[in-house]
Amino acid sequence: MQRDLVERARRGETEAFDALARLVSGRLFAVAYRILRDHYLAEDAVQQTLITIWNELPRLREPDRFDAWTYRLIVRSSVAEARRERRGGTSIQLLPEDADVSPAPDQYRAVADRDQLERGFRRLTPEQRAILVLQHYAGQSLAEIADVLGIPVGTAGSRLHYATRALRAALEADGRNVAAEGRLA
Amino acid sequence: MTTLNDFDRVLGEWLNEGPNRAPDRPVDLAVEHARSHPRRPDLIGFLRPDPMARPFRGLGMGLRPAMILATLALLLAAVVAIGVGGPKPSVVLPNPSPSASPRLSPNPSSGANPSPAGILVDLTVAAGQPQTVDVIDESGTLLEASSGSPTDGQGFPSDSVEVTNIDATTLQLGWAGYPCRTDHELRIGSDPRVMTLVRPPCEGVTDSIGVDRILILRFSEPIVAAEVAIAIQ
Repeated sequence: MQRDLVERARRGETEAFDALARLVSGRLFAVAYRILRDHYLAEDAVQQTLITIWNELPRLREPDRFDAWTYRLIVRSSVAEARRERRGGTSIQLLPEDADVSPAPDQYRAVADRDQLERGFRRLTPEQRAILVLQHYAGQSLAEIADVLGIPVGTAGSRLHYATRALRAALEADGRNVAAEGRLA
Repeated sequence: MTTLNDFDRVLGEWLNEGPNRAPDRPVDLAVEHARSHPRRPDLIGFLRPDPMARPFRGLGMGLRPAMILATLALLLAAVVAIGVGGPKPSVVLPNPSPSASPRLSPNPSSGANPSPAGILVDLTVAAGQPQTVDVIDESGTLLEASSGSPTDGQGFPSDSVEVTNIDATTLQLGWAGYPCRTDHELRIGSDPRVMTLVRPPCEGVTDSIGVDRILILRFSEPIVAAEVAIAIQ
């Protein structure tokens, strides 16, 4: 069904595009929201992505690549929205390669705290958030992530590695701040 | 290892929380955009790169447009080569020049037929035996040869060819001869103003009353009847 809609929308049928947009918008919004952590910014990213789909769809030679292409577009739109919104974001200092960044098991219970995870995630760059969302939410493999982002698989693996480390570092930093605040209280 | 899996699991569970359905507003606005911006035919769309094109191994993606252009250039060269050196028209004329494009007479009554030596024209005659003329053009300017329609009796001289202009590029050649079957040959020289009409003599007994023959020649270039010299053999 989606392939048929893609083919018809490629030919310029607005009715098909209408149906196609409603079919894929949920997936696009879910990814955008998880990268941006903001409902309104995610709406803007979805709208921009759908408009790009309409404008650029004839260039897509293989309709079977539609899903990967739309993932790429929503990631780009989300990153662009995040950059527009970002005001003096906190930079994350990566821990040295040989540092032990694996928290003890009981610390993961703290990580499970939604607020702490939310804060740590927001301290990542939009690109780091995107690659974590593609793997841990969209369930994509490294090869699929590389395809979506248009980068070699090795580069995708490297970026995923650094994004994971950055999130752990952010969580640890957040944990230390919470502990310090607790002592002060 | 367990801790890594825990981290992934916790992160995955946290990411799975949240909305999975898009609000209507962005979809409605995008569809409205599509309706107000109908897509126009993109004549060079095939040249635009595929946004999800897989890069060639060992080659950069930037080479793709160059390869397309090179392919187009080769195709263009092939088309030009076929146009210049390709098959000629089926009507074979002696020593045709590139500017000549001879074709048969559109008048079926003229009975023009191609021959390896030129254009064979069945002349229309008011009386007597069939008459033909094989027109051989060496100038490359003859476009068409056909028969005129002579009236009864003899109106043209029998020892010469009368040449008149029908229009700037068309000549009418008229002469008279015996009503026996005669297969003429008209040779148009490299200068189209110089022609030779070969008229074999009649064999056997024939009527002594002459009949007219009229041949229409159309050229690709203007030609003046007064400048044309036709010898009869």
